[in-house]
Amino acid sequence: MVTDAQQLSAHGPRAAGAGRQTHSAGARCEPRTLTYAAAGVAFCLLAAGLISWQPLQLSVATVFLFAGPHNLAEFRYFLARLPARWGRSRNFFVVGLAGVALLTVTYALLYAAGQAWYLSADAQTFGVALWETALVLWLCVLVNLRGRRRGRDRTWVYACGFALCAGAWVAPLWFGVALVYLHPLVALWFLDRQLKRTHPRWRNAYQLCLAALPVVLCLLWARLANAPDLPAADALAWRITRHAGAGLVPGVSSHLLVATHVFLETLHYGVWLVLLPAASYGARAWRVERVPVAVARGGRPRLVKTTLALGVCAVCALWLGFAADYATTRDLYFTLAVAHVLAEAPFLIRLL
Amino acid sequence: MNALLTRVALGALLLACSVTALADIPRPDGNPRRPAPPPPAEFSTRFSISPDVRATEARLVIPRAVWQELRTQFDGGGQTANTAGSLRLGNTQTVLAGIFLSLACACGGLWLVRARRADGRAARVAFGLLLVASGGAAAGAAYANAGPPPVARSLTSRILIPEAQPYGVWGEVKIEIVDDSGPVRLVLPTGKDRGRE
Repeated sequence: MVTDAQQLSAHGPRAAGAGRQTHSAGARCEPRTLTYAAAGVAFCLLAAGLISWQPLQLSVATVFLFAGPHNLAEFRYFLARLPARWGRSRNFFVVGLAGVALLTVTYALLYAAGQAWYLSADAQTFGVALWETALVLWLCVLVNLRGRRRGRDRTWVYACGFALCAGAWVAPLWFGVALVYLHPLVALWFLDRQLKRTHPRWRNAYQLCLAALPVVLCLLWARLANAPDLPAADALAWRITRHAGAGLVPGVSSHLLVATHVFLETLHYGVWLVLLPAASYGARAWRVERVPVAVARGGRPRLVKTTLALGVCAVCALWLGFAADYATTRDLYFTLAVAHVLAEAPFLIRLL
Repeated sequence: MNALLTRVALGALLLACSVTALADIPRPDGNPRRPAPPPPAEFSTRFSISPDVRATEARLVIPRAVWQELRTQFDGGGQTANTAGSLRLGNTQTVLAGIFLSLACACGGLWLVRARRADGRAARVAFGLLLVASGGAAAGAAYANAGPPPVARSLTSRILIPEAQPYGVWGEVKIEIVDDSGPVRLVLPTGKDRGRE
């Protein structure tokens, strides 16, 4: 039986070869490639236009509709990428998964302590900086472990990591906002690696779309550069604007910040819910016959199926929570969803 | 037995007297009746005056963060809240940032030394370029933050001259909460400038 992971690795050399062919033919720039790229750019422009018009409302709508399902899609994708036996990558996966669990728990505790007023503002800042330091060092260890596994010296990552830690201590809140804006872009990186492995023919169109992304962002910023701040009329609007960095970035309209964040989040959801499934497991989302953890000798197909079913239940529960009390559920979601942000790191590092 | 009872009774008497004696110790301020007044509620924050041709009326705009700090200061017993977004560093933050920056330089140096022995010319060049770019960016940021002329760097009556208007003016201002019912006032010191005018 061929699993998704085996299929991907089996496709690797062929895919790379096909990629070379595509690149050599890239100068001709096939009409179909241009059509797909134009469709992608048109979608981005349309999304940016709509979001710049009603950023708060679309922030609420996109999180309500797509936050839960995209987490489930990510989980399914990571499940397909997780080998049944870790072998020589054991240290990498142990450090990776333990880091995800520890950092998620400490993040939630930090949030809860801050909400319950157990921490003074200074202690909260200290805790945030400490958490960010742990996050950066964890990433450095993962990159180094992956480098050792592949026989490459990646100790330079510690120099960069310590410099980032210094930045985290100088401006911990800025560091957090940077994470908020960088996280949606990670999905684009995942998609690029996935296309390189399985659908190199799509990659030209995708890279054209990627090249157009800064232009779309510049158009969005040009349109909203002088826009007045969004009215923080209620607690929810205030939270959304604060989440996007309003009050932290001086002289920048909160309208622009929220629109930028919602636009990037929309791309993030689109990649995880449409493009990555289409490029990887396709319509086999619920078939676990190709998931290594399920089909390997001693694998646990029932556990995998049960976990996926629980994931569906969690998505439904999230929708119910949003319907009952959107603001509280949103806060809870963004606190616990840090787990999926962290889980992306080991899998992306392994793909590089 | 009698001797023991006598000692216990004397001890109890001594303890009772000591409570009375301690209760009569005057307060440090020498006024036993009046409690010491709380320290005046005040704190310092930044203040700026920005000429605006589109404005139709004068406004004192207080950011929400400053307002929250005010509330914390006057409602919460004087604990100063950390202003969101400000880059005011505590001692611990500064020390740790310095330590991590030193570690970054040390690790980068060690990696460069190790990389000289092995292959990795491209990586070394990239690292060197990154270093130069970081230094350039830092220098740019430092020069970009160069302040306006001295006349516009403090809040005195000298700011009320046309020459200061192109820059706007900023400086430190002390906020005092008083019981008067008068308007909010901006009091500018004039003592230093009298001799020059």
